[in-house]
Amino acid sequence: MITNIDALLAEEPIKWVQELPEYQREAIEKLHFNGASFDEIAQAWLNASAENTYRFSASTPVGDKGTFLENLKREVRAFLCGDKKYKKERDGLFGDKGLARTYVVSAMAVAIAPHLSVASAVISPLIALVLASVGKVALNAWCVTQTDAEPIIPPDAAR
Amino acid sequence: MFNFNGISNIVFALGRNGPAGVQIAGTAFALNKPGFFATASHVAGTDGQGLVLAFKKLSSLNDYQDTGDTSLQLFPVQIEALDPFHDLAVLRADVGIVSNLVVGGADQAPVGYGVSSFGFPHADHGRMVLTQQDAEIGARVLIASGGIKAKHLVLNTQARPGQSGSPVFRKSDGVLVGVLVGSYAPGGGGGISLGGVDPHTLHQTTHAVSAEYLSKMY
Repeated sequence: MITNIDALLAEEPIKWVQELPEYQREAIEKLHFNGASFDEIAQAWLNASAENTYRFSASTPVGDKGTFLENLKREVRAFLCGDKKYKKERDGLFGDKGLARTYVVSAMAVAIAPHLSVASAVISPLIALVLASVGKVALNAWCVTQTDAEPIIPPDAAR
Repeated sequence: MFNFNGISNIVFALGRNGPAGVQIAGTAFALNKPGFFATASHVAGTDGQGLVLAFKKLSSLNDYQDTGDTSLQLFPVQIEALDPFHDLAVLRADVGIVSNLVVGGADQAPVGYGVSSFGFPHADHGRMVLTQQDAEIGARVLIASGGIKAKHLVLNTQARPGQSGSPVFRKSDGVLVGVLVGSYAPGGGGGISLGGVDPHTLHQTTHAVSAEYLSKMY
C-alpha cells in the first residue's frame, strides 16, 4: 500500500488526473492526449468559455481569473512545503497511513478553498493538475526549488 | 403535450447575497435527487460564498406575478460540481426539494422539435418573472470551449441576461434536453454596448448545452 506523498509523486503524474470524477477526467485526458501540458489544461479549465457565445448571466462573475491559477499554485506550495497556516491540515493528511490520491486532492481542496474564497469543488481538478505538474520528484527536492513571495519552510522542518 | 404547470416549484433564480441584498445571476432548477440543483457554471461562478436560490411563491405558472413585489424567499446553496468545459454546475442545498425530471440530451432533440425553456429574462435589471419561452430547435451544433467540443442546441428564440441556466425541455414529454447558456455572438460579444445591450445578441440564435453532460455530475 502506498503510504506517503513521495510514493504518490514517484508514480506517473497522469495518475493524479485518472482518479478525478469521470466528468472532469474525460476532458482533461483528452486535452493531455492532444499534447497540452498540465499547466495549459489548468488554464483552459479556468478560462473555458463556449466559442462565439455571449453568456446570459445577469451579473459579472466574481473573482479574477487572471491571477487565480498563480494564487492557487502558491497555496499548493504553501500546503506541501510546510507553511504554518496549513500545519494542522498537513500534519493530519500526511500523518495518515495508506494515503490515496483522491484523499490528498480533496483534503487539499478543502484546506485551500477558504484562502482563495472559492468552493472546494471548484479547485479539486486544478489541484490534481498542479500536483501532476510537479512531476516525478521527491517533495523535499521540489520544495527547495520553489521560489515564492513568502519563505517556504521545508516539510521536515515544519513537523 | 407535457403539462408544465408545476414548473414554478422546481425553477429558481440563482443569486448572491451580499451587503446590498441579493443580486440575481441567472436561473437554476431542481434535479431528480433531493437537494441537488443545476445551472450554468458561469452563473454559479467560482465563489461559493453567499450563493442563494431565490423564489417567489407561485401556485402555478399562470399566477399573476407582481412585478412590484421585491420580496424574495431564499435558501443557501453550495457548489457541488463544476464543469466549465460544458458550462454546467451542480449545486447542493440542505433542502428536500426534488424534481421528477428525466435527463436526456441533444440527441433527443431533433431539428424542428418543439421545446420550452423556463427562466428569468432581464434579471440584470432586477426583474424577476419566471417566464416560459417556446421555440423550435433550429440546429444542432458542436461548439468548442477550452479545446473541448460539446453538443449544443440552437433555439429559435431570443434570450436575455438572467436566462443562463434555464432548463430546456421537450414540449411533447418534458424530457430535459439542454441548459441555456447564451446566444451566438461573433467573438463572444462584449465589444459594443448600447444602453447595456450588446447588439450582437439581438437575434433568435440562442445556445443551450446538451443536458447529457449533467448526468455524470451528481
